[in-house]
Order: sequence, then structure tokens, then C-alpha cells
Amino acid sequence: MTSPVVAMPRRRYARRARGWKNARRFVLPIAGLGVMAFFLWPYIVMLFDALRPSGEVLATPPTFFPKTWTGSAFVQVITDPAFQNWLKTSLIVAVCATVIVMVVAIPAAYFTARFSFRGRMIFLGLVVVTQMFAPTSLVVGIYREFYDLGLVNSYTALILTDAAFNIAFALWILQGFFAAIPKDVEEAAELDGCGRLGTLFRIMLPLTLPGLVTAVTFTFIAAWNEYVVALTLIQDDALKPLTVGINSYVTAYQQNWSQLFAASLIAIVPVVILFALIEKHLVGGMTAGAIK
Amino acid sequence: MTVQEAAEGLHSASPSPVSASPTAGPATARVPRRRRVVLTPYFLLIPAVAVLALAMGYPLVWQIITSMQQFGLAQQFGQPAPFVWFDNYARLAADPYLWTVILRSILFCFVTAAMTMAVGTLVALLLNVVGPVVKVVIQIAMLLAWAMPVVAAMTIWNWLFDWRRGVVNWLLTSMGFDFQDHNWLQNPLSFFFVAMIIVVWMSVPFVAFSVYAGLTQVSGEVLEAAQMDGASARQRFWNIVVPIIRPVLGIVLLLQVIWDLRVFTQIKLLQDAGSIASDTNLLGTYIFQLGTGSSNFGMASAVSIFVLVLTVGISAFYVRTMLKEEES
Repeated sequence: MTSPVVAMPRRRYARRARGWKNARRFVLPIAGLGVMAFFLWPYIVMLFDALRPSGEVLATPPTFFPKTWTGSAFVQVITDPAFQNWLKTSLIVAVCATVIVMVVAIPAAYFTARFSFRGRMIFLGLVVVTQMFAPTSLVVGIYREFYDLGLVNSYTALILTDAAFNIAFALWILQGFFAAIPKDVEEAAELDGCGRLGTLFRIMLPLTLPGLVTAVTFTFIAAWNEYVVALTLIQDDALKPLTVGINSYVTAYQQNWSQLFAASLIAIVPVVILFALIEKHLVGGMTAGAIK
Repeated sequence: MTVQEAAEGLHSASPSPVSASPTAGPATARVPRRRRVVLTPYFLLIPAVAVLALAMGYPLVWQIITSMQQFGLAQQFGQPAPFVWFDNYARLAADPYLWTVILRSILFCFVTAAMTMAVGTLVALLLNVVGPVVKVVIQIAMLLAWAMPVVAAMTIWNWLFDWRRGVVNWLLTSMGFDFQDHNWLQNPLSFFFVAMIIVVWMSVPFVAFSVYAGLTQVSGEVLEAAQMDGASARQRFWNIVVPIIRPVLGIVLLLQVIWDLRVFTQIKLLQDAGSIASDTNLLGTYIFQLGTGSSNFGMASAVSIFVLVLTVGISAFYVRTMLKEEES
């Protein structure tokens, strides 16, 4: 901001602040409720559709609540061996891709944040360029590559592409967080006898936890939800991930809408569990303490 | 530190052994060690580069080559592809439809990315001030939107905006507007409006979570001190918070612009729900239509290289400024 900071007259400021203080107790939760409703609205529709028989989903006139409540779609989906296979694929692919991204992105991010080497800008720029390819056209080349390698219909192909697609964000956000840690903190740790590696793992990584949590969440969800590449690379029904597999609930021959939605709702569970496990690290205060 | 300085610093740190210390014995012994310090960390980049090269190197090279070939269905099944060099590009540049699609995509991308950033940042700020219970509830709600399989999400959104039995029309009609049987997807403008709402819905969680992570680095004490000194909320936001979270904002905005420029799945599934594809094509769907749709992979590759150059062009200046700012 270029305009000079003009402090408001104290009294006027104080009065306004008091008014806001009274109001914010109501305004903020209401705003939160609005945000929540915007995000949950499609979800609630989906949940109610999963809880009615498939035949009722497209009935006219539509009703908000199911006329017949039934949880049979959930039972059918969970006991479906095909669904269990898709779930397994999604889990393996997302977990492995996330681990790979973290293992390769953390050292690279640390390096780019701490060393000003020649080609640093080019490196960071090229990493961003990997995000610029339209996946719809990239996928043809990816298919040919893995066909030549004999890796079509394999977890390896999916894991590798999902990892490559998501390195950019992880690397950039982590290097931002690393760069924000004052050099003094690191030097102090080294003076105290931590080695370079010890400093990275015992001092630097804990300080970047919010960034790590964001990077892990992002990568896991992106790999979990990847659709275009999986659709092309995996033809074997037993090896499909969830995103592709659940399409077979609704085809030209059968429309099991409630099963599609039940499966989609179950598909969220691992993501929520992952987030519940790491969410507590998404709090600040640690950095502030270290910088003092 | 600017890049030039950095480069110079690197220069002087690793000179050739001769110029650094032509005489003294201990000094010559020190040079190789110093040099190792400069060289060793490059290893840290290798794993990332290897994964990127392994997964994306081949497709990239293939795409560049194919964009200069006549590559159709016959070539997909093994026939040799004749080289036409820049014919594909020349045909594209002369095609007014491509320019329409490009303009449309850029407009859609900027409006959507701006909306996403504004809403996402506001939600992040909201997360920062509400109580722990409300916070977790909002976070879970966003997580659900973010992680929903895209096909299921699009089905629901299509139904919400369905002209005959959609909830949106029903709501607007019962509020007194005439939206009985209004077809949102027929008119390109309202089609893109619906597409924007959906894309924003899907991308805000990402922005909000990232910005919120950035906000954790803002020290509460500094903000309090500023408040005591009479800085208004707006001043505190622009003068204290924004500079600290700028790296996060920078990368998130950049990725939003890139992703929104090549948006595909949402547009494709909306088109399938009933709109005229040629009126609503964006670059992502246009490439798909050329390639997988009509098996003209040469042209499709040319368009995607074109998009790549365009994206690099749009973002190059921005990335440069961002990196410079960060280093200074």
C-alpha cells in the first residue's frame, strides 16, 4: 500500500471498535454458517439421494427429504468386492504419491530456500511450468510412455504421475515456509551441535509444520481425486481407483444413483481421517516463539 | 539479495583453485572443501528433478514432436507420422475460432481466479478469528467439498441447476423471480456463471487452507501492538498480514490462474449436461475435442504447446517479480 498510514482519531476508533466487538460475536459465527452452508449444500443433497432407493432419485416432483429412508446403498457398496478393490487402489496410490512428493520436495525446498545458487529462479520457474500442461493432451503422451515401459494397468504408473503432478505446489509452499525462518534459528541450532541433517529434521521441519500439513493434505487429495490419467492408464477393472471405478454404478444400462453417491460419500472418509490426524499441527505460535 | 548479487557471491565462493590461492599451502587445502560446500547441496534437487523428468519428460517431448506432425488415428495405430513442421501452428494462428476460445479462456480464468482468491482469503481470515468449534466445522465442510470425487460433485451440481427440477430454479421462483424452467446452460454467459460457481466451490478450500497456514506465521503480538497504535483492521491487514503471507498468496494465485486456464473436467461435464459445445469451449475442452474427440493429435498438441507458451507468457513476469521480492 502506497498511501501513508493515517491513524484514525483515537476516540472514534475506540467507539467503532467497541461496536464491532459487540457485533462480532454474532456476525462471525453467522458468516461461518454461511460459508459452511455453501460448501455443504451439494453434500446434503448427495447424502439424501444416497439414503433413498435409486428409483426415487429422479422422481418428479423431487422432494428434499427421501420418501423412503434406506441405508441399503451403503451396505451394497461396502460389501461390493469391486468397490473394495477401488478403495485399495486409491489408498495405495494416494499414500505412495504423498510419501514420494514429501521425500523429494522437502530437500529441494530446503535447498532452494537456503542457498542462492545459479539457476535457482530457472529451477523454480520450471517446476511451475509442470503445472501448465493441459492434462487432456499430456495424457496421450503419458499413455504412450507407460505403454512402452509395460506399466499400463499398474499402480507404479499412477503413483509416478500423481507424484510428478503435485511436486510443484509442495515445493513452492515449503520453500516459502523455509525461507520465512530466520537464519539465526538455524545457526543457533548448528552452534548447539546439531548437524545439517539434524537441524533440518529437529529444528526446521517442526517450524514449517503448517506448510507441511498443507502440502500433505493437498497432495493426498489431489492424488485421491485424480481422474483423467487414471481413466486412460487403467483399464483393468480390479485396478481402477475410486474416482474412475464409481462411474460403473451409473451407465447406459443401469442407473444406481444412490450407490454412486453412497460410494462417493464413503470415499471422503479416508481424507477426513487423514485431516483429523494432522489438523492439530495446523496451528501457529511455534514460529512466533522461535523468532523471538 | 538480488539474483545478480547471488550469482556473484557464488562466483567468488568457488573460484578456480589457481586464482584463489596461487601460493599458500593451507589455503589450497581449503579451496576444495569450500567448493564441496557449494556443490553438495545440489544433490538435494536430484530426486525432485528425477521424478518430474521420469513422469513428464517423455510426454512433453512427444507433444512437441507431435505438434509438428500430421498425427491422426492411423498414426495412433502405428503408421509413421509425416512431418509438417509449423503447418499446424500456422493453421491455428489463422483460425479465428481459436482466438475466440483463447480470449474466452483468459476472461474466465481471471474472473474465476480473482473470485477464488477473494473468497478463499476471506474464509482463511474468518478461520483465524472464530472459535475452535466453528473453525473445525468450517474446515471439515471445506474438506468435504475439496475431496469429493469430481464426477459425483458434477452430477449434483448439474442437478442443482437443472432447468426442470433443479433446486436453484425452485428457490429463485419461490422467492418471486421468474425462473420457472429457466435453462442455465443454454446461454453461454449463464453457462460460464454456473461453471464459475462450481470451480470456485471446488478451489476455495485449497486457497483457504493454504492462506490459513500462511496466517499461522503472523505473530499475534505484532498485530496487537499495531492495534494499540491505532491501526485499523484494514491497515493491519494490508501492512502487516499481507507482506507476511505474500509468498503463500503468490504461489496460490499463480496456481489458480494456471489451473483455471486449463480447466477441463468441470466444463466438459457441464457441456455434456446440455449446452452447445462450440459456444462454451474453453482451451481444455477444445484440446480434448481436437485430440481424443476427433483424433487429430497433431493439432491438439499444437494447441496445448500454444497454451503452454501463453501461460508462460502470462506468468513469466509475475513469477520473476515474486522471486525477486522474496530474495530482496
